[in-house]
Amino acid sequence: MSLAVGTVPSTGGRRFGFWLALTTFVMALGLSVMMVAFVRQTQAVADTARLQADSITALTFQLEREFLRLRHQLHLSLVQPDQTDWAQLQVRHEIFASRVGLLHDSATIAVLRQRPEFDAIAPKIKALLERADPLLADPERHQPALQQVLQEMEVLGPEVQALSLAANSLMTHLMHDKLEQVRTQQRWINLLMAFQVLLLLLGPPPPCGGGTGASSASARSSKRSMTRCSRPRPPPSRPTAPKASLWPT
Amino acid sequence: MKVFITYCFRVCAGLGLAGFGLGLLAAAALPAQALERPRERVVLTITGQIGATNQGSAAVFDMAMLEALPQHRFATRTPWEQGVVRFSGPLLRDVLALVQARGQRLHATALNDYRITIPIQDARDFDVIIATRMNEQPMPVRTRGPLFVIYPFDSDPRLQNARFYERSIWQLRSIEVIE
Repeated sequence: MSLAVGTVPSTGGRRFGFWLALTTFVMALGLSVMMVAFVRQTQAVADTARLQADSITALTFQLEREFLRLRHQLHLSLVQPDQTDWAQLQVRHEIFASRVGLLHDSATIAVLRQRPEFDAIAPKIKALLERADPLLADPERHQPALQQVLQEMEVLGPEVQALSLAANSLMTHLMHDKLEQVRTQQRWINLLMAFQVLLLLLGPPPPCGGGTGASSASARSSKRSMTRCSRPRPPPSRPTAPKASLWPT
Repeated sequence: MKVFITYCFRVCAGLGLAGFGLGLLAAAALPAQALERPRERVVLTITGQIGATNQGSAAVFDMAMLEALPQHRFATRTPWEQGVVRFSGPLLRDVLALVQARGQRLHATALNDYRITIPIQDARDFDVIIATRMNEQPMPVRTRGPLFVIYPFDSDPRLQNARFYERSIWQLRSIEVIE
């Protein structure tokens, strides 16, 4: 009778084993999900940074491009006024004005406004537009004045190009900072996860022996402890009669 | 009874003929209206896989022709404007139907030579318009006009995506319909 009782694991041991398995499973699952989520987050941040970079650099690139196209068209128009399509020149001017508008109004480009290159060129472009607007309303009549505008554009050329380069440089730095931030975050996540895994391996308390787990040193010892506790206990010792020796002593 | 049946038959036949005649008139009138030659400056040229033309192998439109088409209106926020903006203009699918577009994609080009590919499916799935007015006002080139392909971004969360923002081409100049 006592032997039968000893072969069944104790209720506390079974409960502990179930708890341990469940906790391990849940934590492993949770950690896996967390890892996938963070990897995706990293990817998303990188993509966002790239998109933002494209947007700002595209805006300055387009501004520079339209500046150069207008300057070229103006030059050609003033060199060969008889063969000039003045309406086309006006459209070119309006397109450039639309790019200048975006430079001042677009929320995307706000970070660029902190750069000295922006401060250097933005007011000059605005002033140039204000001077050119009435002249280009009827360009054929204002050719001498437009010659002056062309000279101003020649002078502004390097600064317009500097703005494009500043946008490139700014975005490179912003992206680098953002990626570094993500990497740091990832390192912390890795550390956290490693700590949790370690805790899982070391943590389970022994199911029996009156301890609370603090005495467990390793998973192996814990496992040994569990095995020991699940093992059938020896029946209580009973006084037995000494066996009769087969051999004469 | 026989007289009554004969009378009904005549009425029905008459109505049918009248309906058929009206249908023919409408079918003939729509392309004629849309593809008349432009009287003002051409603002949009459509080429490629189209069945209706009015200038060589192209269909060209001036602003009056576009504004004569059924106008669709919506208000939406965009990444380029502050707050909600109202746009109006013909639906892209109406314009494509008018020129009998047969392709699958559109190469849309702007005045500054910006070019983007728009799947024709977009015109079927969403109420994309070729906006001729913003806040009830014509759009000059300076404020991204005169034509602006615009999606109703606020009407569908799927549209609030860089892919569709890129397809919203402003200062639209021409469309090439391709396979």
